[in-house]
Amino acid sequence: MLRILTETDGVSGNEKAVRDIIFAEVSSFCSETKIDSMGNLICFKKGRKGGKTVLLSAHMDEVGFIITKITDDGFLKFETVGGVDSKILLSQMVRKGDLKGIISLKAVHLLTKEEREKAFSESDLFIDIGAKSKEEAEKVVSVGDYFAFDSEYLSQRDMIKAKALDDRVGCAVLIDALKKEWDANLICTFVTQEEVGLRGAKAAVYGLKPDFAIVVEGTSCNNMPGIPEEKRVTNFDGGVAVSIMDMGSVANRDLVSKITAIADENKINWQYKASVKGGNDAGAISISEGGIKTASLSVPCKYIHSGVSAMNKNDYLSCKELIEKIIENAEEI
Amino acid sequence: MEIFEILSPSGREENMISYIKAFGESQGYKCNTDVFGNLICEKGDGKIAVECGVDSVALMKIGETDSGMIKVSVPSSKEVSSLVGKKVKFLNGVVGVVRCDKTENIEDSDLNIDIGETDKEGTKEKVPMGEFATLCADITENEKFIFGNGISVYAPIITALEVMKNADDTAFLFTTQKKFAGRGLKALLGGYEADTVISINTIPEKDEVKCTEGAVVIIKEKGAVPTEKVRKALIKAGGEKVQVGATEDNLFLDLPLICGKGALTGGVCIGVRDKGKAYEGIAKADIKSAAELILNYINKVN
Repeated sequence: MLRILTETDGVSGNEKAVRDIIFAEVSSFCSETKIDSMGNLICFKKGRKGGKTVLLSAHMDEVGFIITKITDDGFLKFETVGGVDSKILLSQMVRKGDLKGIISLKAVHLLTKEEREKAFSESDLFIDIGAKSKEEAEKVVSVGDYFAFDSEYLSQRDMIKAKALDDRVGCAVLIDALKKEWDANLICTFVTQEEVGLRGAKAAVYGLKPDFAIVVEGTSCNNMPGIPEEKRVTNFDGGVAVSIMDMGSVANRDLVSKITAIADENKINWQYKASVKGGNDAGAISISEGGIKTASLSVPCKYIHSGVSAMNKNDYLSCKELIEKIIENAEEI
Repeated sequence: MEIFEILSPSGREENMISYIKAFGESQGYKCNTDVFGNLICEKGDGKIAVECGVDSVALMKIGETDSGMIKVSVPSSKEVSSLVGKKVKFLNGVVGVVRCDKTENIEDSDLNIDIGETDKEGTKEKVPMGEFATLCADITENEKFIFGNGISVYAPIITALEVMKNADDTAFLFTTQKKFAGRGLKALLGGYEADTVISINTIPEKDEVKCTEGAVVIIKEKGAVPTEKVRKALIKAGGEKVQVGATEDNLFLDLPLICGKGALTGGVCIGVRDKGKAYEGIAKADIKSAAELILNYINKVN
């Protein structure tokens, strides 16, 4: 399922293909499903005993590109959608369906000394789809079209490399949760447009009123040579990451305390997310309608927001297991 | 005043909330906290709510160096450089000093909190991962002024408590995570209704705003223009000793307008000398002036 999810394209604002896959996978396990005007997929699952209602949330969208202009000689000018560092873009393969393109810049031997020494910006780049004219390009591309990173899923040792692990990994955890039976009620929101301002989540959770919410995410992991420990954010194979605070929210302290206690009781490997930088849909969910008790659990992902993000299988399994234990113990939370 | 001993970093305001709750109940208010940790104190059925934030800058421990220094992450990047050289206290009582080798372009990763330990293990034992710290106020006062580190946080709270002693038919909203884009207030207003919200904040002393010359009624802040009729009524309620000011700071006066059902909004500020620097100064007369202004406003409206 993670392979299918990551290899499907769904740049922010264009998540339908991802949503269709998720819907096909989970709808028969839900008491009700709904797609709202933002394109969020909201799945309701009645518990065997009722009682508490747990909300799990993951976003379907990924960072990518939107075409802003087609040049007279058939090249595509673009802007990034979501936070993408322009330094990683040069020579990247991108795609729109079966149409592939190469992100490029003026050839290095044509650059002046000054140009070579200057860092390039997004506006210097273009996508080359092999068209020789605007007319030829316009047969297959329009301004406003989305392109995603062209990257395949790879599993090697304990490492999984794919694009869009942030946050198809969260979607995969939610799908697994919906396929099981629970005593507690479960609501899973697969939301849109997280990468461009938590927009889907703001609409999705309105009116749901769960007892508590867990956002399941992919988060930064800078576990690489030369990075001091305090700048790593999370450790690869360090377990599921529990957030305390980020730029968008402060996790509910009681909820975090209960989550970590459940993890310890069940010997699930976990770590704190050691940074307050970044943010996720907890920022939108926690302040919805008078406030919702919210926490975030994340799978550490190296090289996040690129076409080659990488996670450790054990961290993913820890996250999945902890989520399941939380739902099992919902009445005590 | 014991309130200055209470630590209340953004996201961990529970000690301050408990203190205010106890005070509110002693004054006959019905006090409840919501899911976000905000405190709502109500007496009677008036439609005015007086609001202030209760949080101070938060530093969260994210690790330690081999030499025993604590590394922290600070969500509010514009406050980072102002922390250097100041005394901080963790919520578990451990005290430290913020050190930094750089003198410009300082980021939170450049900060080292010195708690007097000399190795990693010693530090780990003293302060756990994820523990919060904030500035120690270190108060000095005379008959006219209160000086302390980061005490601008306390001024709106003290003012609100003064108003609480004499107000009737008024609600008081003590909101958490105000330094985080007014998050606590956003969450609270999603489920709470008032006709008018008067927010108490602070404003740096400069140009047209002088400490000791009375409360400041806000005419414009970064995000909003307060409701005109509320602003005019506040100025009138201030009598002869009132100042009028605009600020580039975001006081979140727009939130009552746009959250929930919407409410009229007004802002009253207390001037702060050297805001953000070591030993900010607040005039006691300004706190008294602000409290009287708000009370006059409430009495006239009610």
